[in-house]
Amino acid sequence: MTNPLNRRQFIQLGGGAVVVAGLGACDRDGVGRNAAGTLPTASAPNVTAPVITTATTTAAPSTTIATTGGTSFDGRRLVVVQLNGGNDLLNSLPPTDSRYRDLRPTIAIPEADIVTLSGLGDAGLHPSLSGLARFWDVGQLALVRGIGFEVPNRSHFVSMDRWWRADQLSEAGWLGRVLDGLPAEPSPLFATALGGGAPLLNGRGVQPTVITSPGSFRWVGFDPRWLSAMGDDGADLAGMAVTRSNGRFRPSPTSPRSPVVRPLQRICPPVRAEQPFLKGCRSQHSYWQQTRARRWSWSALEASTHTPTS
Amino acid sequence: MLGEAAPSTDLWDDSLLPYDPRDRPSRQYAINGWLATMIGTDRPLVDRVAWMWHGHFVSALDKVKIARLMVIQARLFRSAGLGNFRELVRAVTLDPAMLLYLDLRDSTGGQPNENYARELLELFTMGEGNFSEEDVQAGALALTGWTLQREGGVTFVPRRHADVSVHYLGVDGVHDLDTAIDAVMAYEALPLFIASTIAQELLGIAAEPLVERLAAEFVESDFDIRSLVQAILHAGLTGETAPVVLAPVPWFVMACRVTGARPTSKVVQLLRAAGQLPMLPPNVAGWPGGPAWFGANSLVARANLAALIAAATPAGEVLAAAEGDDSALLATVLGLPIDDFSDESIAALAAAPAGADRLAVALITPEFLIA
Repeated sequence: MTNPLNRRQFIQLGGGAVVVAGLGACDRDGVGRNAAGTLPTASAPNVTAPVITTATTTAAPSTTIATTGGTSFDGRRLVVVQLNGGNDLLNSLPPTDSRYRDLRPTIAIPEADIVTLSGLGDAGLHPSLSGLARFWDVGQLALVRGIGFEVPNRSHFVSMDRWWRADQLSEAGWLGRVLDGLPAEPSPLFATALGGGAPLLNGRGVQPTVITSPGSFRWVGFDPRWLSAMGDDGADLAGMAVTRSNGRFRPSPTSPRSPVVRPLQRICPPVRAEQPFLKGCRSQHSYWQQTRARRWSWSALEASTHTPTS
Repeated sequence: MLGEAAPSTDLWDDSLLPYDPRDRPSRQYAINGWLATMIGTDRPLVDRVAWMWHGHFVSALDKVKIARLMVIQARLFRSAGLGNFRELVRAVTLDPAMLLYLDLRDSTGGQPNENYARELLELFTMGEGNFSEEDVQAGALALTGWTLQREGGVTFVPRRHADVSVHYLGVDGVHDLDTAIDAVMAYEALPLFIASTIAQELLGIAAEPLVERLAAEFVESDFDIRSLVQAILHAGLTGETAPVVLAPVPWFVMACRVTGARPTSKVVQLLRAAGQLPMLPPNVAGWPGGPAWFGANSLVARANLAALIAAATPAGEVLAAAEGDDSALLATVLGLPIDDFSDESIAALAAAPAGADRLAVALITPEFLIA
């Protein structure tokens, strides 16, 4: 943990997703340190309001996290690292409360191993997280405990949906909303997800560029220039990266179009997201009157009329 | 009537599928075998519906580990996927891979495991919001006692079963697998959820009045999946469809079927890059569908796959059409409407060298990617 994470290490975080976005509009000191007060109370299970804990020291910010290429916004990036899966809060931030040891006679972190954080009296860090202590000491670490929602229903999927959408289930991802609000995307790689998909970065009109590995942008046996006639420069990474999935359904008026997505818009004019699909927009092609016996989905029709007995 | 339920022979050789969680080659073999089976099938609907159930009643090889059990589950979807939904739910509940994947085999009266009971309601039959936490707990108790023996044998062990009567989904006296499934099937949210899921998956149909009608007919047919699929296809025939983005696997299978190509190397690698491999869904909710498939790296992988398929396409009418400049002919031999290609797609086709390269472009045009 003492070395800055580099991009390759990010990419190797296979189980999670890393989200990088330039946020030029943000106040320089606003991200991650806007909760100045220390709230050192231990959180009970199912507490709805998160307990935000920060060190009060301030120091000059230092960028130790690599960012992906693209537009510079005063050199600043917002990086969100999401580790999918469950986390055991009580052993990540072992409380000093004696009930912790009473209730975990065998798996509690030994007291001697707990990394203490200056100014935080009710909990410390798991020894594996000791590398975070130096960020705490310079005021660059905040700990949020007891996140949840009222009447938790224990559905993984609903819980993650709330997490990604900042508890507003009818809205887009909380960072995606930022993208939707931009007058124009500064670059195709302005908002990039490394690793898996990142629903928190999905806007209504703008989708992030998802990069599972650099190799996944390598063309093999296919010359992307062939696609340039479809309207965009597909010849390089950026050209392909602007392939925004949602463009077909409800594009941002300013978002770039990909070789594939632009023609789709002609076929299917943009529709509002709450209309799942534009009904019948391809019926003009009279698909069902055409021969598509060998097309997989449609070949169901063939099966319906020519049934071999067996 | 639609095709008989009995599917064409699958291509898995059981002798290559030991009941051994450490046997890694059999995992690759199981995945390849399913792709080959779908490409070679003479009952495409059977295989299309089996694939749909795989994304619905999800199990995953990375947890199940024994490839043989995943193959058994795939065979269940192929043989029973167009049968009665009640029977399918019962069979899935006792499917060996599912017993492992959602932990029902470890669920006992003393320590009921709620994983399967929860997903049975949330993902498999009615959707979140239609049941309570108490229903999940009650269902978990009713489903205890089923466990897995060596070599995939499923057995009921009475002493592992919670011998209690519970209130489940508004029904009293639920106490075992069959009474639990009866309660699930009687629940009013089920028909709409299943009709909506299948209509959306197959034809992109989401119009409420139509889905409600399909749901009502589903109940009238006593949950006959074949009738439901037939009704959905008829709705498609009358134009009530919407565009469906083909997921990588259905797209790959369709492209191989239509071109006659049987690419061998790199397929799994590229399908993984495109975001979808049989038997390896990302989580119990299956693959996210629709526009999520248009991520940039996924499309690059598809373009590379298209090149792979085109290069493996044998001489024939498809390749001959790609040798020429007649886009209408190319559309026709690819099973598209004769005037389907847009001006932009036609320009892209013209930009590619005639032959396999042009065919590769055709396979990733929007017209071919969207069903």
